[in-house]
Amino acid sequence: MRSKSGKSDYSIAKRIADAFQLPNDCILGSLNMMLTDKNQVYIENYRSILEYTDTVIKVLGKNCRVQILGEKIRIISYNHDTMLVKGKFDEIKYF
Amino acid sequence: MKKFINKLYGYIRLDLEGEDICRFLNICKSKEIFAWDVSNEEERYSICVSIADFFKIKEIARKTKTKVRIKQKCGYPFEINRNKHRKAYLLGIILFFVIMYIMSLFIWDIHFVGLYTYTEDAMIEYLYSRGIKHGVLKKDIDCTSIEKTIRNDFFDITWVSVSLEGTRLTIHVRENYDYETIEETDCEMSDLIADKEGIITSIITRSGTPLVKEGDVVGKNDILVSGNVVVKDEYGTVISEKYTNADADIKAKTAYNYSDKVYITTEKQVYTGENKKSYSFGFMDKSVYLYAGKVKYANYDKTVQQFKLKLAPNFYLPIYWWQTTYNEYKVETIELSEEEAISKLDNNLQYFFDELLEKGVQIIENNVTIIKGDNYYAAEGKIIVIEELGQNVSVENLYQVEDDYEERNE
Repeated sequence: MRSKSGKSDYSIAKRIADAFQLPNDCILGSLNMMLTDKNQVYIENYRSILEYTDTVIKVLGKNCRVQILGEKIRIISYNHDTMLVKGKFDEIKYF
Repeated sequence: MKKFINKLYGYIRLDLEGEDICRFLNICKSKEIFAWDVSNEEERYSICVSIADFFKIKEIARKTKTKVRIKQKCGYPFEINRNKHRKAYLLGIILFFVIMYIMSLFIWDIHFVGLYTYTEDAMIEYLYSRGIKHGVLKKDIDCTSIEKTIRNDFFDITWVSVSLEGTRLTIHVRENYDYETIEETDCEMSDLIADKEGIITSIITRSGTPLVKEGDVVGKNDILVSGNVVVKDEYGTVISEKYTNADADIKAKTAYNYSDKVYITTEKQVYTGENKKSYSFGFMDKSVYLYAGKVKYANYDKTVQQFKLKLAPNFYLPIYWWQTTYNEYKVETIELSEEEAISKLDNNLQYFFDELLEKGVQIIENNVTIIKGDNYYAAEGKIIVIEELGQNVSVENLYQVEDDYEERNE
């Protein structure tokens, strides 16, 4: 859905969030990742797992896709919007 | 905690094989089947699910063409099922809970809060004499009657609160620290005598006949205020005579002889860091000492620490252990410098002053001087103070003392 000016609703929501200095992950449902050292990542607001092996995990967010590369990657726990991943991480990138 | 809950309800570790495991995981997520500990090793995936969720997985596995194989069944429900034919094992578990329940019916710890002049041991001994001891059934404990008994038997304990939590009996007490001043006015006929030499600086008599006035020099045991009140008419004839309890606020200038000595060469304990530990165990009133060899140190400090076994903050059990630590130290002779010796003497003097001030004594003159001896420094001199003078002595005791004194002189 688009507004009359041609910009998406998302940008309006983003502008409101920015104006009121509200966290994007709460208002827009953006992917939120919290890294602890090199071996633990806590992912919030993910939509689905795209790929998972012991060397890579690809996660789909609302606005982006993230892949984590490393060794001995394990999903310690996951539920409808949060996931705790442990392993020996080498790289985290958007694709 | 989460691990314990998982174990309590039981869970299954599954091996998954298939082309689209991610789809399997995503469908699990959308159907609110929350798996954990997902790992991958050479095309083989492993996940953990709860027993209830395991039955929901079949449908998803069929849809995603995933082969599901049970790898391991974990948790207490499976343990019990596996060992149901082992009667002793089951009996042991049941017995454990029964013993725990029986143990929780007794008092295993008595704890006092707010004790100041009485020691915890003395109070516990008192409670023992009243039948409240470790190992007494909780239902036999009446907190209100304990409160009453303590209040009646200890006149200086003004407030008691007894509470029973778990296997612990907690007794909160509040003591009255000023009881001594109340106690002194007990006798009915008494004189006020000087308990030390001094010069009277002020006297306010409340009852009795004052025998001294401001500026008088009094010696030890001199009568300051007599309890004998004589009423005379205008010709000086005695109309009535009555003995009362002498009471007055008397302040006098008195002197304290102060002397303190600090030796230049003193011995000091220096801990070597070596220590040895031994343990003893106890159950109810019995204790067993575990022999840990002879202590070979020439000089050592001994510290004993007692521990009580508890399952929860207030669930104490009658199992104790003591850790005895022997810390070795060496005695070293050290020489104090002049500054160190003087500062030590100063500190001691300050401590003495603080003690006097705590008693309500006013220090007006300090004649203490520091002198140096052969191998010591000494602080000597007189401290002039203004303090309260006077001690109530019952008339009977006073005349008895005087009679004894006369007899001895004869």
